[in-house]
Amino acid sequence: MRGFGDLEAVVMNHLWALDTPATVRTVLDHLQATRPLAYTTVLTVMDNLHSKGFLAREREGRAHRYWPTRSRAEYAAELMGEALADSGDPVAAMLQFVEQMPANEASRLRTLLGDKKPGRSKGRPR
Amino acid sequence: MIIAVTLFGYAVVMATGGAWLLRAAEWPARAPRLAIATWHALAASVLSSVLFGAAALSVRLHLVSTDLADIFHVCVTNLQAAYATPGGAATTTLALVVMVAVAARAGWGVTTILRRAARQRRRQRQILGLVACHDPEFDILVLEHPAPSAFCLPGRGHRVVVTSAALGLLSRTELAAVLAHEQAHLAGRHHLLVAISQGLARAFPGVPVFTWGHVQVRRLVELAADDRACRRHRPSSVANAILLLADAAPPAAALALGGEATELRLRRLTGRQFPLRRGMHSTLAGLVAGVLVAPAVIAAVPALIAAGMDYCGLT
Repeated sequence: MRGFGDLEAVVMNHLWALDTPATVRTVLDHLQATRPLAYTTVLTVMDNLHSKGFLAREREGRAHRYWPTRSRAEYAAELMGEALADSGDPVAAMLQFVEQMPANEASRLRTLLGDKKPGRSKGRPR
Repeated sequence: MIIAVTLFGYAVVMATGGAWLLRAAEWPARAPRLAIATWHALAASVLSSVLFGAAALSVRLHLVSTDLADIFHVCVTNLQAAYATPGGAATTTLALVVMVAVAARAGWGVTTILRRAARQRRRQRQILGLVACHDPEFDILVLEHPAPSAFCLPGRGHRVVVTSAALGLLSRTELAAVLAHEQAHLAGRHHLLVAISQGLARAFPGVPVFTWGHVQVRRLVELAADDRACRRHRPSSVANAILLLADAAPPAAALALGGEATELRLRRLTGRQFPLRRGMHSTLAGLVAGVLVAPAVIAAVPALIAAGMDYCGLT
């Protein structure tokens, strides 16, 4: 298990599901339903997430209210944007299985290989 | 002087003609790992011959005392003739500057790329930790996303990531083939091979051996990973997976490499493959080793000749 990182994911998931700003107390109450946690643990985790830029917060009375700066889909899009930009090659941070190509190029390749289309049944002679 | 000129000439020939020959050759697609080694050896050879050449220019051998003994005189003058530098201090200084500049530039290019990639990966790993789910069966991270894609995040705590859309498209055997391909990248530390060539291309833009080398190495690691995947999986599974995942491009995708590299991969996977014959492979490997040590040999030739003369007594 990844310990703290795991808890970060749990907190983010809860806040994404909640869809409204929440205090450490409300998050803690929710999480304690499934596992025992100290208030300070959750406070630290949420403070870390804030300093990493994943959570925004606003003071309300004596506590803070936290909410995700971006949606889960936006983060996934950011990652994929980098995966795809890799073919344009700024920095090869990740190695993609295959560069994506326009549909017409892909179908050209398919027809080009049409006569020896990789069939599921016939193997290549070794 | 003659040594420095020879070394610089060698560097120029290798950086242009050598690179051109290698790029035009047909065998790299049949032995991608050897080809990657060749590109790196060529780059190292070019760099080291420039460094040795500059070093030969900056060595001021005529300062070596000649009155040790008369018998040494012949030897020393021989060595001087080979290594001595006309132009004196100015040439020496210039040579030193060139030497330091080339070494520093190469180091700067590679470390810049490595550092940037590491920074990007740190962020990517953070995001993945928050948004992706771990699939214990295949030990992969699943990312919820409508574009079918698979990639690996190399480095410490490396991970293979597959999008939910890709999982929906690929059969079990195709998925296994994709994962074997990505594992091959990780096991072969392909990200480092790519980063080094990319760093050199960045440091010395416009020099064929580096700019072509980067493009070629980037492609060759894919071929090498395909080969590795084909050891355990049917080539048709890898080819099918390529066709499935290459399609359905999002509109924003930049397409620098186009379909050319992918076409080569598909041709290799669907056609008959003829790996290089053992003898041919060894010959090429020997040639690569020769290219690699040539600069050092050229730099050392006069000293070796002097050492070979009994009366010089250098041995």
